[in-house]
This record gives sequence, C-alpha cells and structure tokens, in this order.
Amino acid sequence: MKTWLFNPFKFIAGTRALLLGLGIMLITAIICMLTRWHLDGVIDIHQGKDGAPSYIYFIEPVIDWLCLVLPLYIFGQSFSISSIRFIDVAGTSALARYPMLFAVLVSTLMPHHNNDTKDFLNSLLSDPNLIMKLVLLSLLLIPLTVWTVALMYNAYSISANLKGPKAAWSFVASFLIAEILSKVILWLII
Amino acid sequence: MLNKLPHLCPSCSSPLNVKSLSCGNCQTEVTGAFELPPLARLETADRDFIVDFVKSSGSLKLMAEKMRLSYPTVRNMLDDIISRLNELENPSQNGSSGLDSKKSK
Repeated sequence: MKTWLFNPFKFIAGTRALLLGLGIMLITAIICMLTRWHLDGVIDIHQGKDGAPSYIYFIEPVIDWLCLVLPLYIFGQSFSISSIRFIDVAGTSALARYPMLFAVLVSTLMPHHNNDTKDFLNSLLSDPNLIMKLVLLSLLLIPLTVWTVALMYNAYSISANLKGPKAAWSFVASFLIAEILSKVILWLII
Repeated sequence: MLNKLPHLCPSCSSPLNVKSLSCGNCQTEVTGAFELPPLARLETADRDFIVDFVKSSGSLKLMAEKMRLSYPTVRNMLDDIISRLNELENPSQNGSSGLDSKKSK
C-alpha cells in the first residue's frame, strides 16, 4: 500500500504512466476551469481572475510538468550510470502529479475571490468561518504538497536510477529551475 | 532443500575458495584450491535474476512483464547486479559505480 502511494513507479513507468498521468492532468484541468483555480507553477495552486481563456487551464499543468521533466532528464543523463529513457522520466513525472487532483478538489472549499486581496480581506473580516476554512485548507494542502514532492522525487530516482545525495541535490536543483522556468513561461503566455 | 552456497568467510568475511569437489556417482574426490567464479559469489536472488534474464533472451521488457515491475525498476536491478559483479572482479574499486559506460538495451 505504502509503495503504491509513494512509489507506484516501481510497477508503472513509461507510456502507461504517461497516459495515466496525462489523463489525470486533463481531469484536473477541467476541474480548475470550472472552479477558476490555476496551477501556475510546478506545485502551485492559486485563484485566478474571472475571464481567463479556457485553454490556459489546460496549458498550465503541461508547462509545469515539462519544465520539471527537462532538467530532471538532463541531470539524469549527466549523473546516472544507467541508460535512462526520456519516456520513463516524462511518464513517471506526469503520474507523480496526481495528488494535484486532490489539491484542486480540496481547494474548492474556498469561495472564489477573483484574485482580489482587498475583496478577500473584507470577506475574512465579515465571515469568521472563512478563517476556519483557510486553516483547514492549509492543513489539507501541506500533506498533499509533501506527498506530491515525494512522488516527484521517487519518480526521478527510479527513472534515472539515482540514489543518495546525488539524487537529492540534482532533484532540488531541477525543482528550483522548473519553478522559475514555469513562472517565466506562464507569465510570457498569460 | 538445497543448501545456500557460502561465499564469504563467516569469521573474517574474506572470499571463500573451493578446496575439494566430489563425484556423487563414484565418490572420487578432487582437492586443490579453486576460486569461485564471480557469478557463484552473487546472492541467490541476483543469480536467479540472471538466470531469468538469460531465459528471457536478455529482454528487460519481457523481464518486467514477468516480474510485474516497471521497466526502469528491472533495469536498475540489472545495473545493481553489474555493479556488484564488477566489485567482485575488482575488489580494489569498491564504492565505484562499476558500470564503465552507459549501456543501451
């Protein structure tokens, strides 16, 4: 059970993981479009303004995913003693994003605020339940974030056959590159 | 049940050698100092993996299907065995990867 939760890549990788991951990404994007939540970074989730074109919701998770896959593959090729396949890195990284579906579902607990800080602060002052919802949301999103990062690391470790400090620091570096890259690309597109 | 072939000295952990061999049919015994081949010095699970790998015509995809594991998991298992074999053949290089170059499978 623990392996399936944190390291399903022991059993699923390559094309199967890619198709499964893309399918979950599509469902997540549809929910995002309906609830106006944006996946605007590798593991980011934010409320957006009304009127964003629908395609943005579908482009965001793909950019987030590709921005992580590329540095992971480059680091994997550079440091791994094994002959690693792009399809394994891409597939396992896509599947590793599946907790984002739960994160989006959980985030629907929060009412929409059109990305307006003033509006949100007014709502907080007038509705004490909103603070409770905010705390509850944070308590639910923190473990989901840890779960996603653990899955992403295990996906990289299995697909690139890297363990120990080399795997850890190259993953952290890839993650930072991906976070910056995804933000810049999304900022340029939107 | 077959006894597990010991390959390390239980006292000092040095590699064990074969001192005598006997014929199960006529009881002839041969004595000498014979070194165990690297494959025989691997763990049973590793040897079983190699046998299955050869029987699968060296196809990691077939091995992955048989073992119900993903392709990279099986490839990593093979690479770990290659590293252990290289360490057995060159004990002075312990700690190194043992894989000289990336393999294409």
